Amino acid sequence: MKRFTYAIGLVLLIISCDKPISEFQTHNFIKYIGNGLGSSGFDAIQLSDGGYIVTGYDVSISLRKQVLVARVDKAGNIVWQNFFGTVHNEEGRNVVLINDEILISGNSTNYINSKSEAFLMRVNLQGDSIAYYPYSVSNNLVVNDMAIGNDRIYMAGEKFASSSNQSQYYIACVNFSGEVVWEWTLGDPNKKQTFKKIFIKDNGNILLVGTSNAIIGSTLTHISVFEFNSVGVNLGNIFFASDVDQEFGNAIYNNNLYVLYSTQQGESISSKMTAVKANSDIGWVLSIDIPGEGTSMVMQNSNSFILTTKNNNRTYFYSLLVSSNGNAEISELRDFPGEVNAMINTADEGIFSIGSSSSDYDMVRLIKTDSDLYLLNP
Amino acid sequence: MKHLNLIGLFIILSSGFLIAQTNCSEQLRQAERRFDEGLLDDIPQMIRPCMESGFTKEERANAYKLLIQTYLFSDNRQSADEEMLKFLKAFPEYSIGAADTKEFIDLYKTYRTEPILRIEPFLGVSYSMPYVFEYYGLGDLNSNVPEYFSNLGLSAGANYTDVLYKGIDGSFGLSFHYSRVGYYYQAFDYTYIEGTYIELHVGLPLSVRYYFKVKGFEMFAKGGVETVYLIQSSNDLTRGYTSGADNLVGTVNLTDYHKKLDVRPFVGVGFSPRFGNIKLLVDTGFRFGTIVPVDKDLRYYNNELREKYYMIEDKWIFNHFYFNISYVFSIYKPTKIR
Repeated sequence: MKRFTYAIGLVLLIISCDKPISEFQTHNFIKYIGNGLGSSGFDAIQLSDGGYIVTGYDVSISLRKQVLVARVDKAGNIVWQNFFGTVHNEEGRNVVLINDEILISGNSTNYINSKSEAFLMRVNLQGDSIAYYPYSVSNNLVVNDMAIGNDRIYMAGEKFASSSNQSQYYIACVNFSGEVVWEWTLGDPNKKQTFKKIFIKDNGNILLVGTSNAIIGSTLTHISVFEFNSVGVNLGNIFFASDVDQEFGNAIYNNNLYVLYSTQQGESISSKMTAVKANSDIGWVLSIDIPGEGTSMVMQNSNSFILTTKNNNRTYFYSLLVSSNGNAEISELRDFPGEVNAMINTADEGIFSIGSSSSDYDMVRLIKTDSDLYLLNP
Repeated sequence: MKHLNLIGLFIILSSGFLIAQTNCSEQLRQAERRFDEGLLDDIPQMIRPCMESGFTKEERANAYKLLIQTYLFSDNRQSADEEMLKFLKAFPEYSIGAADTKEFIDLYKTYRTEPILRIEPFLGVSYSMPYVFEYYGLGDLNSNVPEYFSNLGLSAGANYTDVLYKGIDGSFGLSFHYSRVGYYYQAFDYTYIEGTYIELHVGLPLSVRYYFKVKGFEMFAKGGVETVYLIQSSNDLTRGYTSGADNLVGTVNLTDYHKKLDVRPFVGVGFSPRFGNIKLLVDTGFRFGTIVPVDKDLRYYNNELREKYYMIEDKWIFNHFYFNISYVFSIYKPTKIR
């Protein structure tokens, strides 16, 4: 009888044991985050423990967007998630880790008068808010990207001087206390110009990628690339030539600059990718014969990229192998509903993407795949 | 009047039958007395007229045994064999009793008395016992994991059984299993998923049964392995909202996302009750799954399951507690073997 009792006890112990999460799930997972009223994720970073910090927005019960900041472990399960905001609509757009603190940049839109302002927010690794720095101008200010370099925080975006449709390039340099060191507004106040991405080069210069009505007299939107030095002196710019509108998708800087963008001709939208050499010469222009707007990309190694396009509310993953002269082999990977807004390389040489799911209620969707692209294989 | 005539005829015939049976019973008793007195010569003539009709079943069996022993003691081996063959054809399920003489037993043992074919159709219920090795899911597994619930299912099939060794039977057969397992996952605060896995398998059970007696009851222990093939797997799912919004309801076919084969060892115990000529096997035990059915390479590829119901299948196996009742259908062909 005693043996029988021990046997029963052993069986119960085995059954009740915590089920470990396998190594597989740390390399491959799909996770959703959100409260079900509408969410999207815009940026992510990987921590040294293999986990991730993600940011975006989540719609609260009062139907306003609030900044979502979440820390997930290396298998995508939530360590903590916090929602920050006021009574207005706020979104976290970019996240970086600095001095063991999480720095979030984003935008807040007044729900009454639709006026936008930018903000920086410092959050500790336990998810507590440390500081919030708002940046506003007389009209609207939108920050699209943020980078750290030269012991400074650089923010890039657009500033609406007089109209909600006409914007100028905006770049600001702030210290870690959130104080503006310098800021510039560039361009013609009667055009629509914006910086979408910002990179810090090895020499400390600031590389900015955006869109603008490039040629005087033209109404077409072109991709623009600017370079500033660390104290804000404009060192020059180039515009991608085109006779059609160019819609910015994403950009990667890796000594060379790679820009993903879309062009529209009639009803047809297709993506292009252009390499800009370190000396600002255009290296190659690649016409990617895939439908949809390019939305995000990541470099796997020196000549291969994973990119996403958006078409009919679905996101399509592609693998792109590019030769030095710009010839490309494109392989179609999987597609998912919803959007992918950003992808990052991970320590295990995999890829982590963040965006939104598509269903009746959007959620923040995280897709992590290993270096073999296990979860992206069609 | 016509009815009365019929009743009268029935009474007359019945009386005749009873009189004949009474006479035959008396004849048998007298024959047994003569056998005891060693007067063997007239015994066959005394009881043979009653063999076709006139005896009860028990008397007929005793009459056969008396005839066989009479011939054995008369050194008429050929007639004894003829009667033994008739006896075994009439009573194929007879088993040697304590009252049987050594001579009778010796002759009995020169015949194949085991059934040449034993088919055991069975019907049973099973109680699914899911075991989860690892949870997957779109939600946060640090705070909440899916729950699984046992459910009743059904089994049916038939086994062919043969004797492997004294007291040990071997069998193989064909079976069908309908099993169900409940599922619930509060994936997010605002939405939950509940469903019922429904699986239909066809199986080829192979088992060994060892018989033993406990306080006069014939019992057996059973063990074996069953190779099952998945015919269909589905999940009747509901994704509900805590806000009370309309649920998403549907059935997702999982057959193409699950492995088709599983090898299921089983162990059990049972007993074999008899009700007259009807022999049953009643057994209960556990059937274990060994192969995780969810194909790991397809786990994240069921778009309907993931996108509509927010569900990613876990790594589980479904074990079963079962209770079966089998009817033993035996075909005998008694033959002289020595």
